[in-house]
Amino acid sequence: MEEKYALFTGCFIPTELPHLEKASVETLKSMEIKPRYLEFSCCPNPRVRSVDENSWLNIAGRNLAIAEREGLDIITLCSDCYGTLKMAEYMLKNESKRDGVNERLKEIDLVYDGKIEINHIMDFIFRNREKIAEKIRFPINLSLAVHDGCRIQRPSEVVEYKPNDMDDLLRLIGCEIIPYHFRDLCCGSPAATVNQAISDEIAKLKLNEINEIQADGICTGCPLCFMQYDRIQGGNVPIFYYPELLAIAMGVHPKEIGIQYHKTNAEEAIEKCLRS
Amino acid sequence: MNDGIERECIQCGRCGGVCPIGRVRSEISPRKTLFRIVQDRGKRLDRDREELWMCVTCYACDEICPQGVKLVNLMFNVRNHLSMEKMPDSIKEMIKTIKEEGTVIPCTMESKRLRKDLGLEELRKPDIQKILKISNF
Repeated sequence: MEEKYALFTGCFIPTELPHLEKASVETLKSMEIKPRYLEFSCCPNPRVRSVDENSWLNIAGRNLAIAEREGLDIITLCSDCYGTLKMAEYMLKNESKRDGVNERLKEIDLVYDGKIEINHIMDFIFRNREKIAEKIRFPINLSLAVHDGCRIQRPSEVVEYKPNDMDDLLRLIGCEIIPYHFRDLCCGSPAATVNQAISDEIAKLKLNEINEIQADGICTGCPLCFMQYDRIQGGNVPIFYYPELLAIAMGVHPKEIGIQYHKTNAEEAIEKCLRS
Repeated sequence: MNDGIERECIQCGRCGGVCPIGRVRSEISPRKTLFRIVQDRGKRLDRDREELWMCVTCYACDEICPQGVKLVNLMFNVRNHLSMEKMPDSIKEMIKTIKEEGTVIPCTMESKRLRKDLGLEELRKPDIQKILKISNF
């Protein structure tokens, strides 16, 4: 088991959606990786940047410096965390900005030199897709609508993930992709900061279309988008976090990764495709 | 507070076309919101507060802007000019939780139990004093 990665779980997954963490840990285990848990704080959330950009950057710098001190590359499970940490990495390539952050980090005996890699678990899986292909035991026969999410794919000069990456990864495990018009539309969850109704309306715009195209479900790599679609009132389309599907395809029992904890029933779709 | 919007924007409206908020509230667009704020030099930020905070910072507008205007940076920049008491309540609450817990969602008894059932590691609370030391909250 390789131990050269730190798992950046973020705030939402470990507390609200631990089953997604379990699916990710099991996926990594199948890839012979045992990630370490470090004393990370909130990434911080992009909304913290709206309050005070310097504090946001210092705290992100602390997280990066902790992983760097341990000589570990980061694997994030959350697209918000990925967006923040990649943006911080990008901004801290600027020497004077980095010196400014390091001045503050010195007070807590840390330094960040930009020596580590930051991966979203989707990037990491994508890069290792050839090795993964050999480990697929139970193809997942589902027709899915892809929801990439915003933070994972933009700004394109900052992140690694490309929108079609998910399509390749879904085909790898036997899924069919159903194209739809609103694929690129945000899930709407951050709008709930000031207006819950708008947040719900945006989510429903996509869900209504996905209902019409009769997809078996939605697949995403973002826990916040997952939560938005899984919990929305009246939603009846199951949503999957990609590592869940991959873990199942590699032979992990769906109940072991908590498929039963989805709010919108996902067990039936999985059982049906495993039987067929 | 400008980031080139007054000089560079050609008012093509593409940013509004890809804005998720604009999809459900056609009167709202990043261009309109930011232009108004920049042109009155942020004097009436209070009036524009809700619209300003609706932006989900998805960067769809930045990616489509033919002039390369960094609308999201400008959005962050303008929000940074609001004092803490003018922030939405949910943001105030979020900052408070970070100051107390180091995360935005504290671990409840239920999540602890669920983590145990799933065989996941126990969560470690980060050293709050160190986080406070490097932040200005």
